[in-house]
Amino acid sequence: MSGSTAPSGAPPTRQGEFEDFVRARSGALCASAYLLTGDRGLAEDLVQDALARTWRSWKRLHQTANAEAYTRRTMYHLHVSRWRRRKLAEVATETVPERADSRVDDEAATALRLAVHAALLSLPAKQRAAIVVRYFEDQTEAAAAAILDCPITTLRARVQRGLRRLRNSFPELVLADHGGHLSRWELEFENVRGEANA
Amino acid sequence: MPDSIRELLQGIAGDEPGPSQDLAAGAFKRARDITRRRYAAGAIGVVIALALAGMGTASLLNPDEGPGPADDPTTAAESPTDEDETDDQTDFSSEGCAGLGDWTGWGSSNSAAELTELPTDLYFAVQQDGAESFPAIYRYEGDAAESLLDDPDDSYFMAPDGNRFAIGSPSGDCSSLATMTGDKVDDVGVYTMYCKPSWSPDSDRVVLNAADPELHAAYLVDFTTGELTDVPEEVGCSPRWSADGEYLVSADGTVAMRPDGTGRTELAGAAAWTEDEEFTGLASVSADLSRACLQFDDAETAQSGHATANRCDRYVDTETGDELDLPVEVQNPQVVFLADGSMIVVDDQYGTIVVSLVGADGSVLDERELPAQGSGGSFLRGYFTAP
Repeated sequence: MSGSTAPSGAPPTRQGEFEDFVRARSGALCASAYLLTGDRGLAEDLVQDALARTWRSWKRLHQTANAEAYTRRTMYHLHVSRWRRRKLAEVATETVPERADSRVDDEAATALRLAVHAALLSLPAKQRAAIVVRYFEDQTEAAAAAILDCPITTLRARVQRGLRRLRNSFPELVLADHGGHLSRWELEFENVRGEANA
Repeated sequence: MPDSIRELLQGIAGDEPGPSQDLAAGAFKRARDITRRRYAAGAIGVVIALALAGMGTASLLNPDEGPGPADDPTTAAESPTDEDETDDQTDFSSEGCAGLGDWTGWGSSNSAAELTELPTDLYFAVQQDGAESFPAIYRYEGDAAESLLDDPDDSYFMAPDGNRFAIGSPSGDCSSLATMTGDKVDDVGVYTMYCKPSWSPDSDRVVLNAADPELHAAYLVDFTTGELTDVPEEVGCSPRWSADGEYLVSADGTVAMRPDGTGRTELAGAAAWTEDEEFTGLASVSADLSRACLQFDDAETAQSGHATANRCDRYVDTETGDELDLPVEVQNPQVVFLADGSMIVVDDQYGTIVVSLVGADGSVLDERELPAQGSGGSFLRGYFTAP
């Protein structure tokens, strides 16, 4: 990773400011992109495409301190657009790795993460994006709807459908609480469903 | 064991190390590539102009089969630097697009006319299987079809005159307005992820959307003057023009107004379709706003915000919302209303497209059968094409 091109002590150049921004935020951006694409290379490709557009608008964006929101929004749009146009090969639920029948918690947790990620990647792009924005980026409904450029009702519907499909893939996860109480995931699903029906 | 989806997602993302390369350097390079592609896209009008002049469309459109296009003098200048890219923004810019600058328009297309028969040349947007792909633009000369605009990276929005078109960008890249005769203007925000360009019936105006990070600004380009004006938000996204070009009607078919916001009129029967969860959008509307065509899909598609209404799945009286009968028997109709009360009815019968010109009195004035070029739907775009 290259550093800022501005000499020490000199006022930061626009390019240097952008490089600083990328250095600070690329890890978080790549994490979201990885959840969307399921592949490290594709994730970096997606982030770079979004950053290219951010750079093209940098004069305006760096003045409004809105660069990250803009980059994320662009990234989600590019992701959906690519999915619509090319139907990138996605991991089908049938290929979800079997959960390890292990008594070691770490191994079980790793297997679970792999399986859930595979299931996430099997969702339609818009449902996947809605879940990542809401539950990974922890955005409010209003903020998530703004990022994904859709009404809040549409966002809720996408989240609800996505969670429903994930739940169908992992009933054992949803019903992890054997005491008859709803797990947190199930509660999230129920809450979303309640909001959608409100 | 995490039982929260949030914890699971964080765990998944946390398994990955940080980026393996200098993303800033890659972004700079891609920004330059975007600039080059934008300039190249603008040259397509010149290519087509030469092709239509008889130099062999196929060989020109396929660089592997013949000489490439002539150099476009307007693209000969060096591409601007990245620093330049972030300058010169206007209220209508899109991600750094410079806007139309001093462009003064191309004058009136003088294309709109009363039709007594179908013109020889008709232009269709043709969707192939896998409805997610961009439609290609085909020209039918008689019943002979020719693909003119077909690019996996661009979407084209043809005006009714069959000459002017907008090159759409779902990602917000700067784009172009161009003509089949070789004119073009670049640096235009034609953001088509959610809202599509809407051409007026006379092809002299088009409603576009800019991909602004904070505002999805709708604006109108007047081709007779080159002027850009704001479009009221209510009719700013994929509006439909009344057949006489006086009103814009919102994509949900609830409200009409002139492009300057005057004459606001609510369509009284709108509740009959807006309450239907399978309602996709308004496809077309008559000059007097009394009749409209609506498209319906499954609920998920209809409410996705991405579907474009083209079909006339329901032909309605906008005052009452009641369904009306089309004057011809159809299977998958599209209706283009004309200013004098007549209409062009296109029926895509999967393999054959039947085009009918129907007079204001309901009589069929002309009819033509065309071989379909795509299985995903063919929609009439250019019909005021008489020389």
